[in-house]
Amino acid sequence: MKKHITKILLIPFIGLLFSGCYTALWMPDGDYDSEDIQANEGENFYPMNDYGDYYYFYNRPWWYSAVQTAQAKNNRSKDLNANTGQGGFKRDGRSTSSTGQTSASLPTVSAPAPTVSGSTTTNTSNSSTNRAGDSNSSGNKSNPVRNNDGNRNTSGR
Amino acid sequence: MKSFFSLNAKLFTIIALIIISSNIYSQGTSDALRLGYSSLSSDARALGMGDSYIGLSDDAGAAFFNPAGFGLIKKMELSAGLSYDNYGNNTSFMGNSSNYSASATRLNNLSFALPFPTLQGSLVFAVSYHTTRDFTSALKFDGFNKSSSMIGSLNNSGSYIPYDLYLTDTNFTTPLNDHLNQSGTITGSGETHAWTFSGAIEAYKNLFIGLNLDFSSGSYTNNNKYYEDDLTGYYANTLTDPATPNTKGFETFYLNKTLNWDITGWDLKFGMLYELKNARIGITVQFPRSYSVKERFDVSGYSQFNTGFSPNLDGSLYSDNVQYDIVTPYELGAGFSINLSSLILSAQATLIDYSQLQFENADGLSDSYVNDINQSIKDNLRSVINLNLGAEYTIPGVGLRVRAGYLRQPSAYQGDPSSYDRNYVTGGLGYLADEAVDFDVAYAHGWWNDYGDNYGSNVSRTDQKITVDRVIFSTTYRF
Repeated sequence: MKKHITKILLIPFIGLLFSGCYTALWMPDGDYDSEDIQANEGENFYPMNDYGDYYYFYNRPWWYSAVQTAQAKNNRSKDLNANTGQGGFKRDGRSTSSTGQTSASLPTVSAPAPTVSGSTTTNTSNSSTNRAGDSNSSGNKSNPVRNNDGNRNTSGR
Repeated sequence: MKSFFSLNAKLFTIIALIIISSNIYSQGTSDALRLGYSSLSSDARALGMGDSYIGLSDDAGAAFFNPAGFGLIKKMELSAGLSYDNYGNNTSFMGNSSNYSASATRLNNLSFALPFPTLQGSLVFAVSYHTTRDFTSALKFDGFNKSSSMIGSLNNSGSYIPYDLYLTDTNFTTPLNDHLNQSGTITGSGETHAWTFSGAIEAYKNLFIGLNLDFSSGSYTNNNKYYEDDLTGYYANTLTDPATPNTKGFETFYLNKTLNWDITGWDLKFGMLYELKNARIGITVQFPRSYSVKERFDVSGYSQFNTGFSPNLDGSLYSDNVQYDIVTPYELGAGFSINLSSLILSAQATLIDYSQLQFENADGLSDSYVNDINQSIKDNLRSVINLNLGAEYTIPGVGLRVRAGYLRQPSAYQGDPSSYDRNYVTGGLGYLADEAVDFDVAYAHGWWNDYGDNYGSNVSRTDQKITVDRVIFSTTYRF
């Protein structure tokens, strides 16, 4: 009996060896875009229509807010690097602060974090990126992430 | 004559020290079953659904039911629970009925689960502390036995207790074989609890596997107080030991046996769970639990005569310390749950072959004695399938859940009628506040029949109607 049980238990692990594990961990310096979030949310055992608040209790991963913060930082870092190589834009607090308004082509705002709508590109360059990462995106109802702390926003009620 | 008696008494005492302890208490099938029987869970939501949770298990209950269920948790989860247990026993003994009960309240669950951030799939680790068994029990009996006595039974089995209490003559003959009132109480208390370390991963899309590693500890105390009284004056003019005039007019024989267990153990549980759009299928393998039991057995007692003579038993001659392992069998479980809009239905079955319960690694018990116990277990116990059914309805827009369930655990003994199967009906409520804090309460009522023999077989039997009530309150915070 024990031998049979051992064999049964080995089946899933043998399967893993051939197929590889499905789970992929997210690292703070890795990409995590809205497609990933939508893929994770997918169809659910507790659909929102039937379960209301329980939908969020069961389905919303806690790390979405962390992802947004990290993503925002990554974007800023990438953008700064990119700026250095593009058109000689050099990070200079005085120059950006004095600008007040930036053009839509500024690379620091061209790659939105998952929670950030494209409208944030009108903000100032460096500091605006931070604000964008912390901002509530309730205005964008198509975005599956409502806001940074993982709670449902008022528009969903 | 006196010196001869004294010499004999010393000789008998030495012999008693060597061989007698096992006559007053012997390990057996019921000891193994104490750690082998399935117990109710410590999870309020699960209990409300009849502990039908192998195919659901998406909270701290996974530590008890299906570790793969941890893979379904996407937020950090902190949960805690309190339980209240009441054990009632309506006993019929020699035509008399007695009620007795005992209760216990305890912190029965504390759990933390940590899901790791993933791009896809799931990886969750958890640690939890939870009560795994409740040993609360109670029994009271009182009735007149006109055909046998424990004094006679002990004397016939070779025990020196009747002799030490002047209930026999110097040739080990006793007149006290019947027509005595028998009464007493037997209470059990204690619990086992486990620290469970769990891990779960989504190995393939929607296929979760998980493992629980349990480190158990606990204690069990059984206190047996037994009286035989000559309430009718049947032996008022009888000398139990003609050589001792004070032994005229037997009144009372009292024997107190206390069993203490110090329990440690560990075990593994493997689980798989596959999630469909609106259904889940789970299977679990509970590997044999290995419990190490340090047992202390203490005896005290006295007899009383209407002459005022009342010798006490030297309990140290009959007390004992032994140690052994009890290994429980594999438990194979399978369950499913289906979500019909706001209604979740779940069912599960668990196969347990109790005849595979075993005593092992005994210290203080002979190998042949242990082999005899194990053979007795094989001969008397059987394999069973436990069945669980549950339902949960979520009232849309209110955040309130209503639960109901039923579970049936067949008796482990061969040939027991269905009235000896353990049946439970359960119910529960859950309420979610602020999308993050879940409050759950569950109630379970169980009932079954059992019997016990004070000595011998069916000569001093208590027929018992047992009821069990458990209330669990728990709260879960997800963040």
